[in-house]
Amino acid sequence: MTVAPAAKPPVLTVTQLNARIQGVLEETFPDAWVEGEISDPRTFPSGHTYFTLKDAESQISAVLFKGAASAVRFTLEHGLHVVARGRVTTYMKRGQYQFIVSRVEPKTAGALQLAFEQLKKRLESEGLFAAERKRPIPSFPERVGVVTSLQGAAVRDILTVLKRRFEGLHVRILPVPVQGAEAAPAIAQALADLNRSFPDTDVVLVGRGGGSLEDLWAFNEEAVARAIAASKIPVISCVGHETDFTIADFVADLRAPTPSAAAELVAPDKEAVRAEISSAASRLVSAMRGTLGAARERLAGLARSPALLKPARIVEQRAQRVDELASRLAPALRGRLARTEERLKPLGPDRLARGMRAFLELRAARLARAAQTLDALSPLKVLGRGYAIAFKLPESRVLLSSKDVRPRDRVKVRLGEGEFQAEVIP
Amino acid sequence: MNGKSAKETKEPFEKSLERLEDVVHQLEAGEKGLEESLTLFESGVALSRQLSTRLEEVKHRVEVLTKDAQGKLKAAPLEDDAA
Repeated sequence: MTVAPAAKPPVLTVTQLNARIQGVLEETFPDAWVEGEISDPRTFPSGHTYFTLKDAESQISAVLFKGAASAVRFTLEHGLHVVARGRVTTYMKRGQYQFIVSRVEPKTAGALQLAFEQLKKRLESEGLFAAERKRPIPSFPERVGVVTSLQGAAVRDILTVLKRRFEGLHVRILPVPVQGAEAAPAIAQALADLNRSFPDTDVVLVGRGGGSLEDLWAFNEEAVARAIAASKIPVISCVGHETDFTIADFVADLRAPTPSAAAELVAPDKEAVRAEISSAASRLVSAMRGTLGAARERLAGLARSPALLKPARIVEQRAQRVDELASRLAPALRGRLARTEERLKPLGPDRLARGMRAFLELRAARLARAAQTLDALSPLKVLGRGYAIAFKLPESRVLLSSKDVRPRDRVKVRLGEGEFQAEVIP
Repeated sequence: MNGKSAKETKEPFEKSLERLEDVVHQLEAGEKGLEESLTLFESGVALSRQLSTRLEEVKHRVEVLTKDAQGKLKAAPLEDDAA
């Protein structure tokens, strides 16, 4: 019997087969949603990310091409549970089918929230938030940079507060968009420009008014975080309302809850500064008064010291002796005068007695003058005329000749008023 | 950088204020000699005068920095009633 030749299926080339398979797959799964866990993701320099999506039972190769990846804010991490949207096709060359991802969302949290957590974790592990990296904010800045939008409320709030607190600041505003895709690179560039062109800026405020997580997103981007970290000028972040924390806040040297608060932090209160200066001035005066008072007190104490009183005492004693002699002399003279008068009485002439009295009075006057001279010669009076007494220390011996001292001997010099110690120059 | 005006070469206000504080503390400690105290006192008085003058003298200045065609930052006064 003959076997009718069966209708042989056409022989396909491998390429033809794969092309047919591809056609079937693409037609059947042009737009599919799939939920699974990311495994072993690998991003190539091209920007494409290859990974495996799997569940407990099965797995499928997946690709996130660069174009779609740019819309994904978070990083595809191993173990991350996601919902991905895409289509199924084949990689002809290898005859493998794969899932081409167009969108991907984390299953557990929002994409932005996840991106935020991921970047925060990464930068933190790099030490970008470390306290020891924080530059001190100058307490008295004169030049303040402001990186924000010229359109927003933030710039007005900042300027109003700065002006109220301390009229007299030099404010440099760098206008940047603060939301949208161009915001983050613009903010990063502005910070770099300010550092390069105006490095004398004392502090820079970076921020914007409040908004949704999406609105504030630029301040959660790596470019901004890196620019803040790289800034030589201390940075104060001020993004949104009290509760919004951004990556910028973690990297900044200081975080202010709002733009107005940042301005408050940065501007010294002029009234307070004025008060500080005048209080310093009056403290200066009273401290100086105290120092002078103490010096005066010390001088008075020294003047009372026995060493200084000694020459005075010698003079006193001499003066006393003069007085004593004078007082003894006077009666003696008077006695003699009386006696002479008595003796001369018989001789009669009053003239002689008068003459004798005049002679004696003359003597008395000379004696008084002598006493005065003695007083004038007192060392203290001499000192008053600009002379000085030098005493050799420690024995306080009066120096009469330069031969009495040797180099490095300490001497004390007593002046008309006060005294000081000195050392003989070698 | 637009040159060095006299203002820019001046010691920062904050530094001067710190020096004044320091002078006051030194003088209040009362450990210096009379001569030195007087010198300190005089420098302190001069500093406080200079600081007060500077405090009242400074003018509020708000500039907007924008890039020119060459990509260089240029400062222009803010033309806005916000300033």
